[in-house]
Formats: sequence, structure tokens, C-alpha cells
Amino acid sequence: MNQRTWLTALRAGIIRTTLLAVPVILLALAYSSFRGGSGERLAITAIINVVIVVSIGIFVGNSGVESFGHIGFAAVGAYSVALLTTSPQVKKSRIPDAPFGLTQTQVSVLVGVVLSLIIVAVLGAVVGLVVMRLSGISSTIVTLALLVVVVNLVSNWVDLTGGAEAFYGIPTVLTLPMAVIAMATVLFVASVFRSSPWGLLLQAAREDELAAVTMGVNVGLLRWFAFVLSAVGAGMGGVLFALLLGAITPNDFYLTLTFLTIAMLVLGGKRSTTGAVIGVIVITIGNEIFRWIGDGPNIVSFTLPAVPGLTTLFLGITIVVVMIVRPAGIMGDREVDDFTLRWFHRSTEDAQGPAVASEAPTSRLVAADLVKHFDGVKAVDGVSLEVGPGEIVGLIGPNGAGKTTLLNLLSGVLIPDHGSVCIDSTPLPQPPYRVARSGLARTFQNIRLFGSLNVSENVQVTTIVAKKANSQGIDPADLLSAFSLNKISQRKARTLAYGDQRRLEIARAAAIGSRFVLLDEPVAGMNEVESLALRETIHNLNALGGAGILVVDHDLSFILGICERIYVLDAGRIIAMGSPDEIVVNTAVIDAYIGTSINHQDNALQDPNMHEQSTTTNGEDTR
Amino acid sequence: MNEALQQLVNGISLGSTYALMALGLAIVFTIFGLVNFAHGELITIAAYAMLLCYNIGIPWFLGAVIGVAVAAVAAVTMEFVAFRPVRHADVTTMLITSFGVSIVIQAIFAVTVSARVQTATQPAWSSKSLTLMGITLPIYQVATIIVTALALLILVFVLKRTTFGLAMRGAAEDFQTARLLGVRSHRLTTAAFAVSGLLAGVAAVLILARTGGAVYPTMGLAIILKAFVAIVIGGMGSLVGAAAGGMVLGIAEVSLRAYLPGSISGLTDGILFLAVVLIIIIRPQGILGTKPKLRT
Repeated sequence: MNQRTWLTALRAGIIRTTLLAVPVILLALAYSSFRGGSGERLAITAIINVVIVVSIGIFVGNSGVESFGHIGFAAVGAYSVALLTTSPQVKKSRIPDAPFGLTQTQVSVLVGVVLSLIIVAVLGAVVGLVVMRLSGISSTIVTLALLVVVVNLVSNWVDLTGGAEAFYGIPTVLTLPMAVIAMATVLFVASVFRSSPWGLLLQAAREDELAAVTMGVNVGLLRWFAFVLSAVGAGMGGVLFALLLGAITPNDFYLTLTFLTIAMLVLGGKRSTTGAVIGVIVITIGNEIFRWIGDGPNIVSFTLPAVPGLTTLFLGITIVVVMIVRPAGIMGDREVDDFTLRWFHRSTEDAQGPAVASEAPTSRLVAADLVKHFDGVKAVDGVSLEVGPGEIVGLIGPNGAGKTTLLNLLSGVLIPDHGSVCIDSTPLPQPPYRVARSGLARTFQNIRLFGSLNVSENVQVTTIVAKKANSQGIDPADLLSAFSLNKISQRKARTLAYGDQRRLEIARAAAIGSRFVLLDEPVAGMNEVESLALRETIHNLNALGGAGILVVDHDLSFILGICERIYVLDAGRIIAMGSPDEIVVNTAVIDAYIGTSINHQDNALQDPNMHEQSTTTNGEDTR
Repeated sequence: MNEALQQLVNGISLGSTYALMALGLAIVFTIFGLVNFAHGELITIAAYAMLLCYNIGIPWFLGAVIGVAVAAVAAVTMEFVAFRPVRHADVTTMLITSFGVSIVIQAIFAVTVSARVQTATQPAWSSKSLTLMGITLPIYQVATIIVTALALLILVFVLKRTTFGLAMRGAAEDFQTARLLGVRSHRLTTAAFAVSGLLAGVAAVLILARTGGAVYPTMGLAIILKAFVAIVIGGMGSLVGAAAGGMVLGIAEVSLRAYLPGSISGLTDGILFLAVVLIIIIRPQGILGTKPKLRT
């Protein structure tokens, strides 16, 4: 099993950077010697594109949140270094009235580069605060809007930037070796982050944000960090462009470059650093071929007509075809080191000793008088319950009784309108990701695994969090064998059979070394045999860390067979509590749960809320 | 006072074209969850169709009708060729596909016609003005407002009073359920894209009247960016919101351009897009929307 640690990440970073940088350098040298000066310029441009595309991938690939705005950071980087390093003589004619006394200021190129990257980092940190809260379409529109704002500002702040026309006179000091160093740095940072524990947590949130949060992942912070990192990388690209070209315009850093970099990123595969490099190489070569055709080349004795715009057409068609044929890009989730040098990935299993929680936990989970209403429908209406250390407690009730809402309250996903949930008289912390870190984990009715992560990685997400929370996590390897998942530890979670997925979800929740585990309908959709096997699993879980377990289900025989104590919920209230033997003979339970009594039907008729409530809470279930 | 009134009409007229575009975007978005980046290219396609018509001597009105029809056909074709294969993919895949389609269409015109601005001759009346109660109104503005109002009325009638409209509204709530209840999904898809194309075609006719017939490959881009702003203002997923958002945007844009001091009036677009960012942070349901309707 490959466990992700910063050490393995560093190793992966070194290997991947080497494997990726060497071919790029060879290609660049070959083309430079073949075409001379213009070839070298093209090679450097391609290398800068690698810097930008790999950087965008740090955020987009790991977080799954789209960004169309990173070129804005390139613009800021380019203009910063231009303003800081251009000689005062040039600036006097171009921007005589620059604010902050910039007309007279000139710093060395190295200082200029560092200052520019700091400026970009600060901007990225501020913008990141916005972007980390978004996903889906909102993030696309916001990042695109920010690009428009940046370019609009750069074009119109004439005193500072010289406006829409070219800013020239920037020292053109960039050489091929310098560009290569910059590229290697960015490749290394991107590779390490992607393979690091933090990268894994962010990828988990990409697969399923809610599940990640309930496993204790601080999604916002990780997204922010990745965003700042990738903004600085994109800014670096802008800086390099400025130092290569010597003259820049705001339009150099607008939609055309955005199109180009997005095409490169999606072609290679957004999630893969290797993919980003391949995307740049393929698109650069393709662009050159189409530019050559477009310029009207001489073939033998024929001169083809010049066709401008062919390269753009090529870019557009590439994007559409990739999206239709292979939306994950050429590489998908894979990296170059997955194919080569497999022997580098020696198992790190031996390094880990078995670390099952040593002392028996003594905590109690106590919910007091919980109330939650949805638009006037009382989904949970004054529920109090307790789960003791090492206890297996059941919660049953008919559809719409409020079971899932109650579970969401207990796990901090929903905030109660009234009442409290405490572990040893300490209220559950906010925001939700802290709940898991305080030792309470859960599963979901509709299984929520991190689909493109493998079985081992799914569990590792939680063990990494457990280490952060300083709680005593269970060793992933032990856990996988305890749940008989060790044979399939390298398979992607999405590809598992239903029963295995359920077991993995429970194992993942257990991995935090939880004091409490909440299981939401674990046997839903299972047959008798699978259900029996799961009973075994839950007993294992109970034995493994001594965690208190709350099981929610419809399946009466399952609950009766496994629980020491059972709560019965109906219409948002606890109507009975007791041992399995007491519950099966309780008339109120028979009325509400089995629902055959005439008396119960009368109640239903008298209470028009009941039907509505069923549908509402069901809607809640499927969120 | 007169000037303010004139600016208001100016803003409504500009906002009308935004509203038409935002509506087309919103129809497709509410039903399929696709933010169609290539929607702006429908304007470009209609404009080139009209350019061709006028160059071969087809009268203005007939050319305009052909332009609108071509936009509708183009929208349907776009869906069939590019979007249908990614229908079941995630939001981002669809978005990037439409982004690619947008680039392809721009490039096709640049390659086959020219990257330069061409002029589609506009009728003489479009550049005339009429004076009404002391304010001078360019005829194209009046025409824009009337045509947009008519288009909106027809759309509302279709959505509220026809079976097809009912099917569309149902599909916007829940496409899968609508399908299960017997709505023919391919036909509905085709129809929804056709409607969005028609609206874009009408917008193209009005935009050409305003700009004196300037046709170029990237003409749709600036407008589609504004239409995004409009649907964000209106709360994404709401048709009424999209139309109203377009109007608000038009008025805001014209006012900013008119009343910002000359040295910073160039920042109008920057201010509008910054406003979008703020709206998404503070009121993700839009200024006019009541409930967030984003799909997860």
C-alpha cells in the first residue's frame, strides 16, 4: 500500500520533475539548434506555457474548481516586473506621471521578479478568499469576471501602465536555462503538492465535498492554499513573458492566452501534471504546423495560399474533440511515473506499526432537545438521545420520521434551531469539518465515496485528518484488513461492488479513530447475506476502536439483531426507547413503524402535515 | 431631465439586446445546466448571414428574417454536433465544450471570410432619429425596445399557454422527471436551442442596426460576457430574472459611461464585472432572484 506522506510526495516530485523536464529540455535544445534564434524563442515560449498550464493545474486539477481567470495573474506579474525593472529613461517617455514614484524607480531583475511574485501572491490570497467558497458555474463566471476586471484596469490605468498600447523597454534577459529552472521549480511544486497528504485531501473534496467535510477536511483552507500557489505560478509565467518579449500589451494576457492555456490543460488532462506538459507540447507542435500551413508554404513548386486564423481553428477543434472523446484528457488521473520506474514505489507498509486505539474510550454523545424545522415542517421536534462509549445504538422509524435530519444534526451538517449536541458536555464545534476532528464520523445513505481515489486513499484521507487533529488514528493497513478491503486497496472506489462500497465508507469513517460513528442506512439495498456480513463489519468496527455507534435503518431485523439499545423516531419525536426485546412489544412502535393499526391511519388523516413532511424530509435525504 | 430621460431610453435599448441574449442563455441553462459560451457566436453567425444577403442584393427585411432563421438552425446544429455527445457529462465539461465551439466558429469566419470588420449595409431609416416630447430618439433604439418587448410577449405566451411551453417549464424544474413523464427529450432539446437561437438572431438584427452593420468574427464575445453578467444579476436559472438583469445591466452601463468622469469612464466594464463578483459573493441568488437554483 502506498501511503501518502510528505516524504513520498517529495520523492514523487523529484522523479516526476526529472521525467518531465528532461524531454522538454531535449525538445527545446533540438528545436533551437534546428531553427536557431527563432527556434529558441519558440522553445522558451513553450516552456513558459508549461509554467502557466502546470500552475493552473495545481488549483483546477486538485480542487476540481474551474478557473478562467489565472491569466489575470500572469498580467499582474508581467506588468509588475515591467514597471519595476524598466529603466527610468524609457519610463519617462512612456509613463512620465506614474504613481508611487515608479517613474524614477528601478530595481535589479532578480529583486523585480521576487517583488512581482509577492504582489501576485497577495492578490491571489485576496481573490482566493472569494474563489474558495465557489464551485460549478459560479467559479467560472467569477474567475472570468476577475480576468476582465484586471485587463480592464491595466488597459485604463494609463498613468501606471501606459494603457492599451505596448509597454516596451523591459530588459530582455530571459535565457533558455533560466526558463528551464523556472519550469523545473513549478513542476516540482505541482508534483509534490499533488502527491502530498494535502493534495489528497483536496482531491477528496473534489470527488465529494460534503463527505470530505464530514471526514474533517478543511476544504476552504486547502482550496485557498492551492489557489494562491497556482496564482503565483501563473504570475511567474507572466513575469517570464515580460522578460522574454521586452514589450507587452494588456491584450497579450487576455482571452487569446486563456484559450490557449485551457486548450493545453484539457488536452493533456487537468488532473495530471504530466498531462499539462503533454498538452503544451502537442498544442505547440500543432500550432506550429498550422501556422506554417496558414502562412502559405512552398511545397515543391506550389505555393499554398495564406490562411490566417488556422491555429485558432485547430485550438477550438482540439478542445471540442477532447471534451467529446476523452473529457479527462490524454492522461486522466495518471502521471508519467505511474508507467515507468514502478519499482521506485516500494511499499512503506513496514514503517507503520499497528496503532489500534489503546485505552477504552469513555466519552458520551448527548443530544438534548433537538429541534429542526424546514419552512414550518417540524422534521425533528425535540429529540434527546445518548450514545455511550462502545455502545451500539439503533435509530429506527418510518420514512419521513426525520432520521436523516437527526443524523445531519448530530454530525454538524445541519445546525439545530434549538437544542444542543455535546460530546462529554462539550458542544459540537463549528464549522462542520471540526466535528469529525473532535471524534465523530459518519456515513451516508446514498454512499459518498471519493470515486476516483483508490480504496487505500479513501481511508488515508481520514487518517491524515486524524493526525492533524492529534487524535489517535487507526493505521490504514490494519483497518483495510479488518474490513477485508486489503485485497482491493488499489482499486478506484467508484469501481467497487455495492457491498464493498458500504464497507469502505464505514472503514473510512472508522479511520479517524472516532469515538462515535454514525451509520446512515448501511444495509439499504442489501440482501440477507450482505446484511449479515455487514453486521460482522459493524461488530469489527466496534471492537477495533471501541467507538460508540449509532445505526439508522429501516430494516427492523437488522437493527434488532445488532443493537443493544434502540430509539424509535416518528414524526420528529422519539416515541420509544429500550432494548430490542422491549421495542418489539411496544404498541406505539408497532403503530408508527409497521403502520397497520387503524388508529394510526386516523392520526395520519387528522394531521395534514404528515404527508408533506414525508416528502420534505425525503427530499432532505437525497441531498 | 431630458438628458437623463434620453440616457434611460439609451440604457433600455442597450439592455434589450442584453436581455434577449441573457434569456437565450437562461433557457438553455435552466433545462440542461449548460452555460453556453458559444451563444454569442449565434449573433456572429446571424450577422454574417445578413452580410451575405445584403451583398447579393436581398432586401433588408428579408435578409433580417433569413439571419434570424440561420441563427436558430445554427443553435440546433451546435447542440446536435457538440453538446449532445457531452449531455451527461459534468457542468465543466459542457462549459469547456461550448468554449471550444465558440473558438471554432470565430476561427471559421476568420479563415473563410476575414478577420477584419465588414459592413452589412443597413437601411437608411436606422440612422435617423425622431423627436418626441423634446427628446431625440434614434429610430433604431425605439425599434429595439419595441421588437424586444414583442419577442418577450411571444415567449411568455408560448411558455405559459402552450403544451410545448409547459413541457419546457417542467423540464427546467427537473429534466429527468419530465422525460419520464413523456416529454420527448430530443424534440424538447431541439426546440429549446431553436428558441435561444431565434432570440440571438433577433438580437443580431438589432445590434447591426445600432452599430451601422459592423460584422466581425469576435463580435459575439463582448456581448456574451455581458449576458453572463445579466444572468448573474437576475439570479441564474430564472427567465424573468435574466430579462430584467439584462435591462438593469444596460441602464447601469449607459449611466456609468455617461456620468463617470472622463478619465475613468473606461473602467465601466471593470466596474460591472466587479459588481458581478460581489453579487455572487453576497447574493448568489442574484439581485432579483429569490432562491438559489444552481444545480449541484
